[in-house]
Amino acid sequence: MAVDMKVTLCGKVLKNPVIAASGTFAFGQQHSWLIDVSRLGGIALKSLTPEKRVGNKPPRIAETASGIVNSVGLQNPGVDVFLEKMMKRVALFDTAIIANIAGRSIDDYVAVIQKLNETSIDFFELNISCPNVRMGGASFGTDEGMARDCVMAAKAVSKKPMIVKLTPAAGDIVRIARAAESAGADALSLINTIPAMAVDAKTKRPILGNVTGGLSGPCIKPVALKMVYDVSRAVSVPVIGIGGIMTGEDAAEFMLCGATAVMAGTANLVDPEAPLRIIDELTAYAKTMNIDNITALTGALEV
Amino acid sequence: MFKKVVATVKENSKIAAGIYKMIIACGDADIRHFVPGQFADIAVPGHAELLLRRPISISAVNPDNNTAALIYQIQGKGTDIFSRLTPQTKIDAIMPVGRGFYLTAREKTVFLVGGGVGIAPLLSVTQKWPSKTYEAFLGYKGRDYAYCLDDFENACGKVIVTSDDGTLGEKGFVTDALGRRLIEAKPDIVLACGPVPMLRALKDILSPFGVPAQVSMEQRMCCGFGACATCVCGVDHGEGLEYKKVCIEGPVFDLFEVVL
Repeated sequence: MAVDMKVTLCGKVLKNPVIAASGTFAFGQQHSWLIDVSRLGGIALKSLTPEKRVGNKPPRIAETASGIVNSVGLQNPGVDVFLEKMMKRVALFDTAIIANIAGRSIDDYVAVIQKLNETSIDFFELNISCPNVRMGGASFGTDEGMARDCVMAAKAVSKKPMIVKLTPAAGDIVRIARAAESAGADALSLINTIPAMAVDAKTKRPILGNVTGGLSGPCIKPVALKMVYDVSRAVSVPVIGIGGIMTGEDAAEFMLCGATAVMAGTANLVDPEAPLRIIDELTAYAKTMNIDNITALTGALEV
Repeated sequence: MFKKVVATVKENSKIAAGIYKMIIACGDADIRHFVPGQFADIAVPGHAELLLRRPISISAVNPDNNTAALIYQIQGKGTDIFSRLTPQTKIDAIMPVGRGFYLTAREKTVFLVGGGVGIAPLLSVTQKWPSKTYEAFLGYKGRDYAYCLDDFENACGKVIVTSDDGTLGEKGFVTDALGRRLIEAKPDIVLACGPVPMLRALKDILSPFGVPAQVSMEQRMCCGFGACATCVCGVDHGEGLEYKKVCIEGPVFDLFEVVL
């Protein structure tokens, strides 16, 4: 029995529910040296801002127990250079393309969206949750009113379905999710990294140049599962589950908790082949469970 | 171009205090086009909780039997586990990665300056460009920490050794020994690898002589193939600070452009 792995997200059909998370896949080029990127359900590009960002002072990465703490700081060439030099190559991937958008102000988000509206990009993902830059979005993601204003302004100019990426740093992620939905979000993705830090006791210094960063990897999966479970029951738009997905079963767990699709992040950096392996393992899992259509998993948790 | 391969440990032994040498069979990796300064990015076998690969510099390759020699220092849990790997263990490696040292026909006399475990990647320079005239300046902590000395003696016209404690060669910094030599003889280029304080001192010492230098940088690394932009170092080509990826835009940079 073949498993139908296709899922529909905001009216668009993805080959399978496994998407590469923003910031872990650059603009697809490096992974394309090592794997067939077109096998993925989709790829979320690295955050784009109106202007070039040099990013945070190194070191930008620390390994912790079953996790990593990063503080890249949205390093990107800016939307204009992206359009000029990278968009053509991105368009060659035969997979859904999600442009992740970040900014310091609502005008920033609007400016990037307007520049990308006429491209072949399939979805926008509004990053209102980056923990690594001041006014880098997290402030929009933790305040209900700001989240609503930002999503509304972005939706008003957007010609593409809008995914809003949420931060676990919100006091109550369900409230932010509802605010984003009421402002017009077509889908929600969660969770972004958890604000965190790593310390070197021997030198008595923080490991990261930015002092603090965002935690990701298998250690955050239980936190993410609960948030996906809570949010997917509170909203009617589709939810994309993110948080420490390393295997097909991890992906299945997020779908059971209500996710329509999932994003693998840290896994792509640990093993460039991970996203393909996750697709294969999820397919094998569905077979074992006698599921012929992967969409049957969404929300099928038996409580 | 690098590939993700299954490599096999052939030998793995201690060569100095805290320093090990591992010979690996490189599987499908293309090591014929290996450039000195490149590294192998190795997952810690059997320890899924240690998520990140460890970047280990390649000190020599042998394309005839498809092997590479990796010299590494025990720095933490990952490299400690490496030191206990036994022959025939399969390891997941992405290799060879990075933009290495680069010599043209113009550079005839080359000074190699290395400190500690940073000495390891310099040896393959003499293997790759055998017709150059080399002098090596090697700084070790002390006699117990010295390795590959014979190899440098064989490959270089002159080898000057320093140690922190004076148990081997001259007592003091390798860069001071270099400074004294520069008064007598000026190379066409310096290639260096070692701790950041050594590289800073090198920059100060070379500046008045106008000798160009390439240095191999180290940084905490995540993916090791250019996707995450975490292992950066600052570079200034005169147009403001930019952060470059040590893994694929380095690890070798121009000493006078890199931020130390």
